[in-house]
Amino acid sequence: MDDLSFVKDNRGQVLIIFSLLITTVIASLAILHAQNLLAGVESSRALMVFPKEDIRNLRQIGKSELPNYIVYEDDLNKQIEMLYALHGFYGSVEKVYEEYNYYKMRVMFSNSEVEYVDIFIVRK
Amino acid sequence: MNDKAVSALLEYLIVIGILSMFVLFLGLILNAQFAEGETGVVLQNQFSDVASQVSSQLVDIFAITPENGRVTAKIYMPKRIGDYEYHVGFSSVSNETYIFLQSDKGNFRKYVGVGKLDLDMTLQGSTFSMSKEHGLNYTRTSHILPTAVLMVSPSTLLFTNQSNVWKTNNTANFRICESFAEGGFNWTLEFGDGNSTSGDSSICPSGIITHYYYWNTTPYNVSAHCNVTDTANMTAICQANLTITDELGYSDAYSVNITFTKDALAVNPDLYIDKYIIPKEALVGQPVEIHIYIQGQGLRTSPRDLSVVHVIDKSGSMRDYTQYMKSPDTGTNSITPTIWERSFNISNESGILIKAYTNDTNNIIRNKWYQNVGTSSDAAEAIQLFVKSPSTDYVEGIETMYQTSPYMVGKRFSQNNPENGEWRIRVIGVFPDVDGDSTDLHVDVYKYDSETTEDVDDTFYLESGNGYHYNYTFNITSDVDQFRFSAESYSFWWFLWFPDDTTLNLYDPNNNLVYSDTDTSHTITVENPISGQWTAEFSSDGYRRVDIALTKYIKQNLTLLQHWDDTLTSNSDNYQFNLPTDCFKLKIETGSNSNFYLWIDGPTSNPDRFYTLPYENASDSSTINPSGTYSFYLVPTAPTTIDYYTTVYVAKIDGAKIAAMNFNSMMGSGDYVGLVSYSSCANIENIENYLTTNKDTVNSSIQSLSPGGWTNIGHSLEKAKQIFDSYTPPDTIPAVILMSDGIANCCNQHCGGYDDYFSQCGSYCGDSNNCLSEAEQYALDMADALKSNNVTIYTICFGDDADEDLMGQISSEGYCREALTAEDLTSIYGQIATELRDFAAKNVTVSDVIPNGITIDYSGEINMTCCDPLGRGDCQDIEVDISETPNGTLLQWNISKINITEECEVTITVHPHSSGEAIPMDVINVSNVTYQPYPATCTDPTDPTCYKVFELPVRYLKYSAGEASTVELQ
Repeated sequence: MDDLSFVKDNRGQVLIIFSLLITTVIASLAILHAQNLLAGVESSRALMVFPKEDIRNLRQIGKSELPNYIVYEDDLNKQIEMLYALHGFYGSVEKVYEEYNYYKMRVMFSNSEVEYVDIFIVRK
Repeated sequence: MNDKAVSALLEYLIVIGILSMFVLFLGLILNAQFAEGETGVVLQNQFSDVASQVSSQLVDIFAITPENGRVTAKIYMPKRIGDYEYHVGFSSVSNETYIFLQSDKGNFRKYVGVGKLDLDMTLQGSTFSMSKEHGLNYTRTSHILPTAVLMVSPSTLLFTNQSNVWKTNNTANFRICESFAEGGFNWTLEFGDGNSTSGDSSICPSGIITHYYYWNTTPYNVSAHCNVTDTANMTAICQANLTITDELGYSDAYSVNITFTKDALAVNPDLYIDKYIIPKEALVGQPVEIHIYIQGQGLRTSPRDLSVVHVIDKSGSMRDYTQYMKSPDTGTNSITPTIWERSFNISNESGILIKAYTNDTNNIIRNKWYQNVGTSSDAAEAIQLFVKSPSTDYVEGIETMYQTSPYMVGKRFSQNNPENGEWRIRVIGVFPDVDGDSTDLHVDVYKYDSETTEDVDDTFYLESGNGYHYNYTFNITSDVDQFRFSAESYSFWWFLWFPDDTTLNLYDPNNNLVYSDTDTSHTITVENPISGQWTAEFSSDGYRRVDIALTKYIKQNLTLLQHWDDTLTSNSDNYQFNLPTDCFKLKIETGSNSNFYLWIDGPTSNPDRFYTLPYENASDSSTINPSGTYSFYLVPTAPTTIDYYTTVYVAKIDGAKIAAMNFNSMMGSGDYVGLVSYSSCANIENIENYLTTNKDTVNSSIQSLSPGGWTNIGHSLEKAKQIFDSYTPPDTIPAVILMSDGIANCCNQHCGGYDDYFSQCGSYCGDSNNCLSEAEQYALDMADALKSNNVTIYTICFGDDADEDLMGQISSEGYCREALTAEDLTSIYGQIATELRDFAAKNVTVSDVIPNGITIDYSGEINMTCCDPLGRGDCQDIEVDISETPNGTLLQWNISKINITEECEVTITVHPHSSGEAIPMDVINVSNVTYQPYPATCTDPTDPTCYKVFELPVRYLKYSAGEASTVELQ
């Protein structure tokens, strides 16, 4: 029975047990700490990769540059598609409908993060 | 028996139990202290990161929010934080929307605000961290509501009795195509007289709906359905209503008023002013158009009759040239001649001779286009020959062929030792192409073996015994290709011979006169002469010695190699101009890059002769260029395309006459016209009737004006005042049109004017400073006297030397209209005629204050454009003045005058900064139109009764995010 006495343990079982416990806690804390370090990365990345300017450019072509654009619509849209494809995106501006006093334009954009479709009216 | 209280096993269990409790307690403490606490911190940070990502994506989406479409953006988030799975979604708390994140057990939770984004977007949905993908899905569907706009012109109509039916004399023309609706629209137009019509937008953009109104004889009539203000005069106002409905059933309406009367005097000209916005409801980010529309209202009828006095400068400087017309107005014309072209080959010949000629004796060359040229042989200019050797460019054959029997004119070219190979010939016809004019053409190519010359010199005397005549004869044989005959004559005085004139007439063997001239020296070269005896007949008025020299050029064995008979056509540029009156001067100049001949076919004479420009026919004292149509025919003289322009000039006085007569032609039968001409003094022309409706009488007086003298503007205005003081026809608009091309430099007392202005000028006119200042003061005082009698003065500064400052002060308009050419002058007179008759308002100022918080799009012009739908006059662009005020941005346009049929419109594109249910599109009480209504005779601009103020209606815009704008987190 003496061998079962904890008090008389002199071979380090308690130390081992406590060491394991503390190691586990420290490891958990390390993982948490690593996650802590990663906090903020996603929001920063999201801010950087969102293609606002690419989409704005397309909208501007469809709105402000419209009179010239309409004249060369087919050719220009092909060029826009090729230009955006060079950057790994899809972008296009097309006239989908025309009335006597307005055009209806469709702007499309797509990459691995964002898909965008807009149909709007431009007064003649 | 064991004396211990507990057994070893029990002790072990107790100790183990106590230690377990301790370890458990310690574990819990450690877990709470290290694991849970740290996990909580990490969760909070990661939750913040995910929320920030969602929030930033929302902001980015908002920045590019589509009007009608969708945006899908991916969201990245860890599947677990610590050991926790969690939910992310939108939650509404106290009417505020938050991004909430919560661990699946609910023990960790975080809320992050989204600012005011929820005002423009409906945020909804949630996602679980263990889901495969996460994303924000923005969708927006919108429909632009229709905006109806109705315009009517004219908006004032006159009832006239047409076969006992009182009907408007013109249609009211309704325009609905300014309306806007997505996908087109159906429309219904109620004319206001009980009648209506309907259709769809396929009639746009050019569709105009016309409608006659009746007083009372049809079911649809004005008297029963409109607001009648004067039954006796049939004066009423009808309201026409337009309703449009788009494809989704949304509708909008617009109304305009139309005024009717049978008494033109009952309705004064005025302005119809409106302001509208398109669209009335828009999505945030969309541009909005503000339109300001002004239309002149009024009736072109008897109360607009005029009494106009022309005051025409006829000072000496009016003799100067001024441009009458230019063709083309800008740039150059071009013309390419018709070229006849052939080739032939040469091999080892000693010489070649090429002749191109016509035998046309009757139609084109001799009798039509060259009948009055300087000498008969000049008709050879009708044929232009160009020859090209195998190795060189084309050279012109300049030797003239001319013989009378048989008739033959043309050009020739000879070359000794010609180069072997292909030679080319080009011939162009230099005569006008009128009614397909053409002539016969013959081209010969000869070869010859050699060329020799034979010289003869002789001397003889013209003596009294033979009447100072002498006939010298010489023989020309058939091998003579060309001869040159020259003669020099001398008279004898004091033992010396001096050169003196003799007359030489050279006759060919058929007794045709080839040359005739009187001079001290004569040289005649005759190509291709007729063989036989030639006679040189000399005569003089006294004793002469004559030395003659004759050289014959003989080509041996002249043999025909090639011959063509053909028809030669021409290509000329033909155009015309008209002189409405006999003119002192006429000058025609041109600018071109190559030579040409020009034929001018005048209205009375038929000279049909050719000129090299400039052409000038001028006199200072008589009108030597008759009125009528002048035709130009311009033909190149080289086989190349030429670029050219032609300018026609007349004397300034001619231009003034043309302009004034053109003005008179625009006057109606009830208009009165008078005439004052002035130079050193002024005269009332047509003195028996100062003002008359007989324009022919006035035109006759205008045509008789002759230039000369100084410039007495003061006296001219005094005479104009005398006309109106004598008699001004009632119910007419009195006006003076003062034209001057110089400075006021005369106030001569001999004219019989006021004595106050003679202290310096005295009896003389001049350019001394004192005289000039008195002459100017004289003119200004006379102008003020006229204006105080409600006479409108228009001034025209003709040319660069006019005194614009003085003329501007004299003018009722405050400025002088500048005419640099006779064309300008005619145009300005025409403008004044239209304005006098048609103006609805003067000095119109449109002020529109765009409130703060609305951005004006300056990328396009925001000039106001004024045009007459009837096409009278040119459209004018009124530039905007922009200034910032505490209320907002002030846009202002100043329009000197608007006619009764004129329409002015401007479109301003704006972008409001914020959304709202009713955003005002201008600032009340400061956005208005001020103008002097007809007859605009008051002269004090500070007098508030001079001006009418129309407050621009405030239009409100509904500016929103659309009805269905949602963001869903998935």
